[in-house]
Amino acid sequence: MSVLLEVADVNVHFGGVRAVDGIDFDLETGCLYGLVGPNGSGKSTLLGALSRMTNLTSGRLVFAGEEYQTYSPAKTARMGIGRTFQAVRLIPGLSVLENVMLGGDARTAGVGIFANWLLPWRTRNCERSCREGAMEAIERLELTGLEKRTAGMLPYGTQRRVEIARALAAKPDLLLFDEPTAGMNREERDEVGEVMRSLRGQGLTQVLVEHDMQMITEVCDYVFVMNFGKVIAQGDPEAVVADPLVQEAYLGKRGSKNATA
Amino acid sequence: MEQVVNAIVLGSCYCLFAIGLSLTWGTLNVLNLAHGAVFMFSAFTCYLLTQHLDLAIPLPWLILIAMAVGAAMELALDLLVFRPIRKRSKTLADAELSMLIASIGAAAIPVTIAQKVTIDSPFTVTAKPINTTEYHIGSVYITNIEILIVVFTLVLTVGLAIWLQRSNSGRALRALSFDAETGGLMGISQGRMSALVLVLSGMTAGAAGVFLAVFLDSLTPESGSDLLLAAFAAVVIGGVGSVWGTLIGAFILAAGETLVSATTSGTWTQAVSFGLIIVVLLLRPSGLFSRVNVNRT
Amino acid sequence: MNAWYSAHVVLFQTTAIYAVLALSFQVVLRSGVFSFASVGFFGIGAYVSANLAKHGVSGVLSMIIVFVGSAIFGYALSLPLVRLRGLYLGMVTFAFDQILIVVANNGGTYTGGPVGLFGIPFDVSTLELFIVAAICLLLVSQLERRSIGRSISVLRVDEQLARSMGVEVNRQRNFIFALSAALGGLAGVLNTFNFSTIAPGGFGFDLIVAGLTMAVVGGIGSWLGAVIGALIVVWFPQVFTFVGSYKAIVYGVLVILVVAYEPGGVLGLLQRGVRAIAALIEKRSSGGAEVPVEEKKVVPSVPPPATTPQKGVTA
Repeated sequence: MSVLLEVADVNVHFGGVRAVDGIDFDLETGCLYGLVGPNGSGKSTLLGALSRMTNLTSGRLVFAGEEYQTYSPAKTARMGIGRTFQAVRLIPGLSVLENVMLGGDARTAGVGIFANWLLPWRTRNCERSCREGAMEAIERLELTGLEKRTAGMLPYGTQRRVEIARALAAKPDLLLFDEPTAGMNREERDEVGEVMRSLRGQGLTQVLVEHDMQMITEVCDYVFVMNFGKVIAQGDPEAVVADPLVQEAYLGKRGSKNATA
Repeated sequence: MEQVVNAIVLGSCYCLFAIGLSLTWGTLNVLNLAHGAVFMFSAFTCYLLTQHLDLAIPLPWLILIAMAVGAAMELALDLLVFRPIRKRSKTLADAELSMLIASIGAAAIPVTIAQKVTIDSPFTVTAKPINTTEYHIGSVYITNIEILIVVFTLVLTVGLAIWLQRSNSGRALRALSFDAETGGLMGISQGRMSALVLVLSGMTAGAAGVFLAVFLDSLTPESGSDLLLAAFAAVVIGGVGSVWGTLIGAFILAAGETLVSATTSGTWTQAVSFGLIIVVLLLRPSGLFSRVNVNRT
Repeated sequence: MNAWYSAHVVLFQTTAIYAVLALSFQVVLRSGVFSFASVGFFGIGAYVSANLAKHGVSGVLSMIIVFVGSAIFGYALSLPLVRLRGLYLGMVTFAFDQILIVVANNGGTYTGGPVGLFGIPFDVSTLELFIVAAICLLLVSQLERRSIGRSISVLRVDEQLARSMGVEVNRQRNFIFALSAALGGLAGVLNTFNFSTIAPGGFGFDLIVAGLTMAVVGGIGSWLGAVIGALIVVWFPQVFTFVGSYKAIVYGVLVILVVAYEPGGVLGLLQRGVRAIAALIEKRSSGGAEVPVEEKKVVPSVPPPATTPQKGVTA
């Protein structure tokens, strides 16, 4: 297996707070990684760093042999690193199809603004392939039939699926999910999990930040556990869950809160 | 020395005017471009009373009347314009843009009325009987009106700063400026606070209107938008939402303008405000005197 | 018809000029860039073209010079300004308009001081005016479709999302600012050549109000809104003559009503109407069968209480 993303000694400090503190790992092509940890452990900040939304204090990021820690977030996206956000962030006034096509633009967006005036035929071709890609993603997330609906009017779970479709439409090589199933019910979660598994089958590398341990164990190949900005455990999901260090991080001194199951 | 007195008086007027702008921006996220129109219209009302109706109104009463007019106008602005927009906007950025645009629309109303009545010419406010007394302190001449302007401004500014720091409503306001949502959760009514801030800013704008009309002898219906430029500079130098900063910013600006008008023909004074705005915003976007780094994104 | 047209030709000309100015406003507002610089560039275009005309430069050439020049100047201006967001940008561009009036008042023979310049030769025909306006509409309308259209709409709503979708936000904003500047400048040129006069009062606060009224009341969502806005602003005082010189008050009230209650403007209102009629027709033709398939109530896009029950780690 080849290494797709290399994270080397990445630090993100906010003032004195070490939100991400010396993270080091490699992600291999075609694997589905889980990233877990208690609230405030630095998962989302790390995801932000990987997608270049958050500036690194120090460290190196290498994607497919290309060092990109100085790239803009937009360039990172165009390079093939897609991401979703914790909160639903659709453009409420646009239709589902348009929202998903927004993702399809990610590889070409902003390239040649003047092309819209000078080379309309070229943008027409782009548009066609973008639409096709978007329809594919829509089908995959079982949103067929809703293309023309206004995104803001859809039920919450459906909106989340539109977001995932949008991320897919960008045809990324690496997809970072920031709690994609927050607020979904069990059934919807399982559906999303299945979509991820099938994407993995096609060789897409994914990182899943998630609170739901059941989903992590069912879906992921490999899990990183973060606490206080560091990776405190990693490995096979089953093994990681059983790790006493991980249990302490979750249950810690706060006792048996949330210890259902 | 004469120039120093002029600068201090001018700075006081700027400060009075700019404080309202700074507070509404800092606490409510409203850039109220109608503030200039309120200022102008308060003075204009006094002009109507003294010139057209030929009433002999002593200066203190004129100030009170102008403050009342200003307060009423900004309250109306809040209730009829800002509140509905705030209620219906989906995002903060949407609300900001809508309120900015609406405030320009609102400004058009008093400006047009004043233009119509004065037939586009300058007007002046004369308090009757106006007994100007000149005092000589060393080589400096200063009139009682100038003293009144400076003292009034200083008392008001200091009072406002203390009020913001000490009183419950002041604290609530500052909480609101950090985070409207949390403020709401803490039981702070944004509606009431917003009305309070706008009434305050209307009162100060009204007082500034009378003062400047008396000090400069004449205003035009468009004076409001000229003064906005000066107020922007004062606010930007001092940092948005900071009372002390606005005070200092207003004096820096007034000093700069006085210097320029003393050394050049005088028509370029407004370029000082513009230059200051650009320089400060580019070099130190959070203002020269602000402690908190305001989030500008 | 012909007599009516020649009696109202000035209004047609003004409509074309104002439509270009309205586009200049609409382009920035649609992208969520709070800029009022259009009016300043209007003034620049007006004075520059008047001076060019004095030196015998032809109308078409000075249009091109001003269009390109304003775009370059606007772009240069946007480079430092791009860091400023929201209200700060609104403030600086408003100040920019104000300071240009000061410059115009002090410009000596180039600007004619407070009196302004007059007697500039008429150098565009009404037809040319309409052609120019049409070209501008075409340029702007091309930016409202396809990929670029989507990226601009996301720019206004959610900048961070735009970044994650590969949109170079700052570059896009600079471009929009430059385009708006170019359109504003062009409107100024057209104004000078058509009315053969320009004075500092010609691009003051009143023009900001008029420009905003056109863009906002027409609807900032589309170039069509700018056209509707220009029609309203130019023809309204003509139809309702009783408004007279109080028209600015009517504009003010209109602007407030639109931003508070119908942010889509007249265009948005029309679109809603069309959609409603279309839905009605569809309902008719499907024999009153239920149209909505799974119409659910508007669901707030706020996630339900965020803490999803954690399935404890002890599996």
